[in-house]
Amino acid sequence: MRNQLFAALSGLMIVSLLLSACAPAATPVPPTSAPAAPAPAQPTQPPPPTNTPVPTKPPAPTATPKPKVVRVAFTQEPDNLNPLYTNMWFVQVLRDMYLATGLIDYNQKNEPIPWIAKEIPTAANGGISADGKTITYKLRNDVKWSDGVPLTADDYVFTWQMIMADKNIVNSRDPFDVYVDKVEAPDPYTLVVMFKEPYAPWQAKIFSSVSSTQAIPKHVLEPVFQKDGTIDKADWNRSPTVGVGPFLFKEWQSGSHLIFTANPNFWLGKPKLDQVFIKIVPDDAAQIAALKAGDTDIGVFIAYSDMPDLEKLGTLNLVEESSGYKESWFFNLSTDAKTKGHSALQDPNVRKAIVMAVDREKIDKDLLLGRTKPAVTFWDGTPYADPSIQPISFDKAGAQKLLDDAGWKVGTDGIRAKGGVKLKLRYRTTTREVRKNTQVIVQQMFKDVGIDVELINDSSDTFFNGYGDKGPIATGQYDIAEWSTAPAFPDPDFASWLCKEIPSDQNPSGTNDMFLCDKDLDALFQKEATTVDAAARTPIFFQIEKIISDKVYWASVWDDPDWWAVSKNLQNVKFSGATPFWNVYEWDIK
Amino acid sequence: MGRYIVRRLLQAIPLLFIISVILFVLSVKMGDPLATFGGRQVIKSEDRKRLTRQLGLDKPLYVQYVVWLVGNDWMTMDVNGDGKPDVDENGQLVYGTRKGVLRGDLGTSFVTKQPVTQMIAERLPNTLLLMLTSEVVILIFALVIGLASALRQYSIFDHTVTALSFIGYSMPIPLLALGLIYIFAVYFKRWGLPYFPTGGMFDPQVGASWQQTAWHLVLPVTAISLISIAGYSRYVRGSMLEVIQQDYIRTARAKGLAERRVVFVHALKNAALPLVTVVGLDLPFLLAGAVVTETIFAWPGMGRLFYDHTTRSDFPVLMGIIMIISVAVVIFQILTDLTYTYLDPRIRYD
Repeated sequence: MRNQLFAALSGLMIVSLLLSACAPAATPVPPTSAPAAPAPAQPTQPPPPTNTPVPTKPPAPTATPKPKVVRVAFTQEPDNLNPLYTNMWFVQVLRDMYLATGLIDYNQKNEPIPWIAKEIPTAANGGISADGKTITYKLRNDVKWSDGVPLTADDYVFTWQMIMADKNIVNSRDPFDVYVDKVEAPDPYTLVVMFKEPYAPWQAKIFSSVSSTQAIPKHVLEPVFQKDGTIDKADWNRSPTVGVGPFLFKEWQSGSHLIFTANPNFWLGKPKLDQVFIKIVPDDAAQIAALKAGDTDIGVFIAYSDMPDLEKLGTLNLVEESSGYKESWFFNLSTDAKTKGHSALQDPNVRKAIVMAVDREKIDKDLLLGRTKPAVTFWDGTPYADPSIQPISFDKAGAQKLLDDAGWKVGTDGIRAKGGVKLKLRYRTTTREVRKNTQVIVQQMFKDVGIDVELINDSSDTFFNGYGDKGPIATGQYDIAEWSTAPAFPDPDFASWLCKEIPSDQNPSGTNDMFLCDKDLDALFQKEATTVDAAARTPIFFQIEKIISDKVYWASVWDDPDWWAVSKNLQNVKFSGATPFWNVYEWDIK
Repeated sequence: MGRYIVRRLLQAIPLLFIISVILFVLSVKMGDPLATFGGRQVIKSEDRKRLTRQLGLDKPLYVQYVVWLVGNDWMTMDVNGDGKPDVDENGQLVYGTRKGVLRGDLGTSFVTKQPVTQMIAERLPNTLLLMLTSEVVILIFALVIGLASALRQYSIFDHTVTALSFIGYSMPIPLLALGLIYIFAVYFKRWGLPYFPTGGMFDPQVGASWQQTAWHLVLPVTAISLISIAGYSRYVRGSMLEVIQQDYIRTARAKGLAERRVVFVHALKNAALPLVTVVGLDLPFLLAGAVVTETIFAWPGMGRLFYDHTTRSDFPVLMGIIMIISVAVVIFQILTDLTYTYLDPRIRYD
């Protein structure tokens, strides 16, 4: 279909191309050498004439082989390369290249691995104090910043100070503002973090590769802070030329690209690639075209609808990585007049009937080509998911019975009602195509059991607006809302279901947009957040999941992994859902 | 003439002031810059409270506007949120650092923490390269096609060009742009033909050079031009047809002037008036870039800057771009009016 359309257009295009031949671009530049071609060194220009006799054997390869450049397409441009000044996932991905000061990194299985820390602190090795409030890291002593200055615990202490400095408008102080008492460096290679109370997510959230609290170079930024009173506008934030990672920042041209070149002094040895080139390709369809043309080697957030075409090419691998995200349904449980949800949603059996009425497996099969399926718990794909929790299956008759039993009877118009209140729900999500399609299918399935639904869509830049800015979700202008979210992956912590996070006039910055306040759940969430011992923490999550499942507080429409497309010419690319580029120093080109 | 220009410029001041108030209110109310602050999830409530204060978003709208206009280096600050004005180590009151638009400070982006002026300066040359190249291509083709179809009205050429220009005019630019990429970048490469790149300004494996930039310009310029040539050539054709039937053209022919001179000097100069109006209106918007084309062809221009920062409700950047365009509109309007006096001696402003 698409091919035919393009074929039909092509005649017109060719005419137009001929017409535009007198554009300034008419210089007959030869097309760029085929980038997708396998690596054999190929001179880009004809070899200069030589005086030597014509060789009878094939010409010897040139002395300097073609640099090994990997081209990665990013659909969003980084905002700031200083970890303190960004929340962007795309920047977090890059940090494993140019900064890489995380104490702990994550491997392909999302397991923590010691990185700048010599070992992961445990109670056994003395890294975690008996009361769980003090974590002591032993740092590697062989790591140097790229300008030769050693990386020490002082850099981490300085980073903490910069995060907490009032004059720095950092993106997040989490978790230092609420949980951390003090960060100290008793000697250059020992770092001690003292908490106000035991803090379970320390591994992922304190100076780790997945957090935005990786150490920044004290010797570069402290003079800036002393001079300007802030590091908000430090040059390093946009050109972090000093780092400890396998690649060094070389260039960032606004809106166009970023270049990272191999760090010959990287502490694990020089990387195999010479350069990583990040192209900013903001349009999804253009990214797919670039992958098809072989103009780019790696792309991410590949849409399900594009996958069959890309697979057919045979030049790309599609790789699925869980980063903890689940496409989710949230029910508005508010009873407050300002943010009120439909009264029927207060009944767990109605919520269960709503989930039972929808054949989510079919939606995933039809819209997502069966490449994913509904998650059972919010923690699926982590060790904290209870395998004994049963999914709610599609059961139309069962849903009808639950609704009947709950007193919601079908009226003459086919819509259920109880006490004069119709069962009409506001189903709200963003304008993303796949979500709109889901809404339409769900609308029909709801109709089959007598639930009427109003479909509402907001662009994603207003959907998540806060309570103070009258965000549609934060102010409860919905009954069922759909979006994709995750715990503090790879840590299971999740704070948005705490009662104290419910947004209101008194608490406009609250993040509990489901207005969910369940005393048992609240106590369990507070307990898991302070249970440092992972073995003791897991059963708490099992209890949390049981309550969520029994009371149907949440349902997943599909598990939402990140999909990457990777050229088959690349070797040793092992993504991690938590820190995708963790092994970029091992990547190679065939 | 000098007095006229001064008067027009003075008239523009209240106009720009009103525009700035309206646009400021609209862009601040448009969205919540702190919603996710660039992340995949909503931000922590503690961070929201702190950032609201540090970025001055807790202030009433009129105070935010005054700060935008004249700066805040005369205001005390309370970034630590203790309710008291901040003091430095020496006990001196701390004042703001912004100078305001009237003193040439367009503010600082919430997103990149860079001065807005610098961000615009980085993108403007790319946009001008793309848009001016397109404008030149558009004008050349529009004049040639418009003249040819006016002089040969109802010929096969005229009918064909009319049909084609309607197709071009009604073509949605995303479809056209992606169509060009698929044909000339994806399929041409697959078929072993010389091919164009899918986007960007140069090939990373070759390196940046003016040849590379020119080569990467071809497809985006083609996309922009194809759509606008259609409209422009219709203007030329229409006004040329009108002028060519005027008495003075008949007179010019009657007194034996060469047809070339009749068409290009006598007729075209008058027929160009409507085109000058259209081009004068269009030129300031060249600064704004072409959002769709720049996005699809990954061209780092102003259109994308505007779009990217709209999605993050980064209103210092949005206001900066809009105000620059507003000023450009005023200036180009004056220039357009001055061009009229050259083209048509009957128009006088004194």
